[in-house]
Amino acid sequence: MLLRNSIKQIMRTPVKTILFLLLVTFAAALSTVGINLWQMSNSNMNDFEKVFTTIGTIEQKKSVLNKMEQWDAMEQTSRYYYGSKYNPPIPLSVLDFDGANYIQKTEKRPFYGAYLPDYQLFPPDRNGGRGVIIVEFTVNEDCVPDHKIEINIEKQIYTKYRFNTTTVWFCDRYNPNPDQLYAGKTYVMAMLETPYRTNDTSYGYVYTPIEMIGSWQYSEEGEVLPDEMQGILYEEVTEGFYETEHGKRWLNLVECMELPYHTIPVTATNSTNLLMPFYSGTSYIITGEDISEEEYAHGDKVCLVSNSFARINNLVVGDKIMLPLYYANYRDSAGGAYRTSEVWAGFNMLNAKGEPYPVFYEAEYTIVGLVMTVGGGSSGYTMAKNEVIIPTKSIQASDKDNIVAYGPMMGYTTSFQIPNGSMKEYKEAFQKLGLDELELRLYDKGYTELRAGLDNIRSMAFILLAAGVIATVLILVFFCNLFITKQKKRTAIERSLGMSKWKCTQSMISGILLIVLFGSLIGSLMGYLLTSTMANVVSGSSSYDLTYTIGSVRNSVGGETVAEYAYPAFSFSAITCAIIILFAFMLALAVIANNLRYEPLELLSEKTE
Amino acid sequence: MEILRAEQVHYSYQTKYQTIEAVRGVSYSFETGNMYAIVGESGSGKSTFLSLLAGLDLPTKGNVYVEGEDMAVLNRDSYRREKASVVYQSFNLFPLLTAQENVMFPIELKGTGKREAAKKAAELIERVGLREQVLYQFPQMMSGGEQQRLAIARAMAAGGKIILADEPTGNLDSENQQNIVQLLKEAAHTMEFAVIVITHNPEVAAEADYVLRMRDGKLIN
Repeated sequence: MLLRNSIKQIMRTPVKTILFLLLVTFAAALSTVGINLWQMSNSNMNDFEKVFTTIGTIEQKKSVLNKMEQWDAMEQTSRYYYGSKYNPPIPLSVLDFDGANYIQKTEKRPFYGAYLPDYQLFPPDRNGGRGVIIVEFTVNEDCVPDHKIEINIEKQIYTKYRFNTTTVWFCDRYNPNPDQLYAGKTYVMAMLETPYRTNDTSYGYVYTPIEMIGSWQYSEEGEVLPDEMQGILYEEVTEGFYETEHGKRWLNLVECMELPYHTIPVTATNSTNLLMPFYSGTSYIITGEDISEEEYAHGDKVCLVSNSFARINNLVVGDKIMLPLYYANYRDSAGGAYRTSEVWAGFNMLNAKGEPYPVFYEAEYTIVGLVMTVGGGSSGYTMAKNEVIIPTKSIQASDKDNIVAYGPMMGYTTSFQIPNGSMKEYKEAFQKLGLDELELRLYDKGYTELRAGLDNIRSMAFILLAAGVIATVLILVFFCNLFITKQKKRTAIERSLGMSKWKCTQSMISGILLIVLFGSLIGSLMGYLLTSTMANVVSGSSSYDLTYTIGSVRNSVGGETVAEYAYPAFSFSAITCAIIILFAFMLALAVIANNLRYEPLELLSEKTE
Repeated sequence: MEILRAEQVHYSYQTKYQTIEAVRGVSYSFETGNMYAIVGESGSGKSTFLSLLAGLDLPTKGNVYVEGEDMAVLNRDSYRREKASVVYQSFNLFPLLTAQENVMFPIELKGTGKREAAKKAAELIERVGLREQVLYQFPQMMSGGEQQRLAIARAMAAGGKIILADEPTGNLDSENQQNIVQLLKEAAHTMEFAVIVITHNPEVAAEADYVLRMRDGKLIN
């Protein structure tokens, strides 16, 4: 009866009631849109926070640009080119400065050579022609090889591609002051076939000696260790030569010549996030998963291997691979060194003792992921064909006696990770150091712009939510005033007819609550549908394809992962609806309590004279 | 038969500056089958006395007895619901309920079903001399006299035996005034209600079986 009378009386003021219903619906919709947008933007923010990473690279700038001359006897001219020079490498410690809030501290990565004779490798690119050949040769008459001369190949000590001719054309073409060669003497040298221009349109080929017998081993501090054989191109072979120190060294060199064909580069890092090929998306994990933070932190014996290497050797995730590490390169990235034709010119294979570099660390690693590399390129920022990635901390031996190359910090060897959105702060703190010789580059994959966009959405959501809340409060206060405060007399009549205070409250509140219930249900549903539609539109037009990013591949199937915009949670809409109803209930109770304070007779006995 | 008795009833209240004694030691006994008129100047305390009789407030001193029971220990909501009804000068009908629904209200409040309440309401409306056509009219569509008849029908509907009327003819022309007074008299004499009317109007007072005069919160005769 109470409910019926209450609804009856409300329904008999249809304009007020419909207006109330519409306004409550509108306020509920506004609040729901606001809260859903807020929730979605927060959810997106959290999701993107997990997926996006911000990294920086540091590169020591070249300090001097020298004009350098190279004599070419074959073309009887000097070639001039500009060679750069670096100041002594700046230590990594300078990057530990106030304001540097690292997630991953700056690392200068070496790559190691692992000798794997039992595996099939994609051979590194080689110089054109027949590659390096080590021969014993003689000349027919005394001569200085400052022009093309015919030499007799007496013995092919090492060659990848054996050839039948006994004489070849030879010139110590890049040496402005070549040593004299004497007829009747036998010499040993490493040589390489090189092209030269005979006229404007055609080329000829001539063998030229290359320096391989000298050692260019580096100390831990990056200094070249002294070696008397540096600069030597050929030596005379006398009786018992190969029993001498120099002779043994040539034999050691021969022994080393096959090593590259069985060596894969192994990059040691503290986080896959720091490797630019992964960051840029040219490399990604196609099978298995990334090395986890814990595995990196504990130095677990786990690795990522290239998919092509795994395929030709029938390796799968979970297999183990023994990695005997025998050299360390602190100058290049594996991609830079192995993708160019300078692999062997880059560093010599003998150590300062004239011996092959011994294995300094050997351990069995479990393959946790296979890496696919797309695109080509030959910069240091790409992955090498057979490259393996391992945690730095997994190497439990020093490489100080096996450093074949050393250089300053380069973008492709030196990187760090900082929190998303902190690029500006880092840059400002870095600039305060005044290290003009170091070039800083920061990458966030557009996180800053995306964050700004999400912040805008969040601000908009806040405004909508605030507007919704204010509108809800105002509408409810207004209509409570209209339906309750202004109905003081109705309450007084009910009281004078013997209705208890609680029943008066029920009588007054039930109709209003019913309208609020309908309005907020419809409004919340509308708000939910509206935000779902908005999410669909936004998601459909600008989803972020993160197939190749580190964060997403862990859970990817088939290499396809897309970071999607969050959708509104229905629970938030339901909660909004419930809060509006609860608020309306509390407000109505408070207003009715105020009505009930009035003495009924006082209100009802108003006399009209 | 005595139904309502006031014994040395006092009522005072505090304003910002002073304590007002609105009713001072009023004693009187009301019986069913009689119509009483309480007259007096404005501020004489008659409306306050009526509110005490209606159980809308309690005396600050003294007692009101309903059928021998002290009002102070009674549930005053159920007293108003079951024993006493108030009729006002300005009718105080529910504007958004029809005439029939207004009369049904106190009947349903006692727990009677809708159908029975509707039937009883229709009978009462007929009894107070309203046409059948008003059943579905809203109060504002009715004349003042009709509204007051409806208010009396609602008062009768509660099923109690006490009707307290506060200037019930104040808003009516003389013809309607006469009709309402006759209706109240009829309620007292033929339906055995104790009808207590507060009025300024000597003509109305003249129709009562007993006239009580109040001055300065006291009953003076």
